[in-house]
Amino acid sequence: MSTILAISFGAFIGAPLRALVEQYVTRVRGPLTSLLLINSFGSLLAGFSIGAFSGDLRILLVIGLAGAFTTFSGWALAFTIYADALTQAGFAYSLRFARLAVAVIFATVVPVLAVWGGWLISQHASQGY
Amino acid sequence: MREASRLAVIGVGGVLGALSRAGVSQFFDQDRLELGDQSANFPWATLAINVTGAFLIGILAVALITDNSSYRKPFLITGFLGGFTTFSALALETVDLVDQGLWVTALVYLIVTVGAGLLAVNIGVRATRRVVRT
Repeated sequence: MSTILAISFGAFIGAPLRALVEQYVTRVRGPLTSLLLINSFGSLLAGFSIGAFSGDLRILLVIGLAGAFTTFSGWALAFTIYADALTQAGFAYSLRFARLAVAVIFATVVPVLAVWGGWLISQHASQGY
Repeated sequence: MREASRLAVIGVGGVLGALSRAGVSQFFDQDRLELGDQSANFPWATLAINVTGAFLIGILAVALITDNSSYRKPFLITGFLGGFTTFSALALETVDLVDQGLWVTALVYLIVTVGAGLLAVNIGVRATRRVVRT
């Protein structure tokens, strides 16, 4: 029961927070930057929380907050729209593929590194740095 | 006020999505990582969640393209699917696999999730465009 409450509380904050960040950053920097920022920051939080907290607080932050703040479906949709835009802009196939591949790899690797970074921060923090 | 109720709708959708995600993880018996227990298991649950969510967002993005008056888009797309699918678990599980020395598994997990996810959105979009047109 406390698990369900912890997940719900985290997600009730995480999902609307994503909507707000997405709305603002998309307007000034576009949807891909917006999702990169959201997924990287959420992954940083998840990595940090795994290393720093336990029990219900960890469940709230990792499964609820970071889980609902970050998104894979919106990310995949944004790249589909980006691919369509590249096609309509008349880029050659090889150039389209290269641009898309670079963007996808970047947007995948950075959140993974962010988890690692968050975890490292938690380990240093617990040693009193 | 309108913005506040839109955010509340997204919040409720996000809660339902996150609880569904937790339910699927538990069903696959893969909620251990978040609980702090490392186990050398391929993260099938998150893979299934993310690819299914990607397929559904492809369908809904087309089906609700002209739907601007209601709360359906915020609830279903931003809220539910956004809360159901997750990038942080994908990233966490990848780092966990690397931490266990399973580099190849980690790489395969990332590539399969991204590849299948992008494919799933495309299939959802194309299939729904066909249905909506006719």
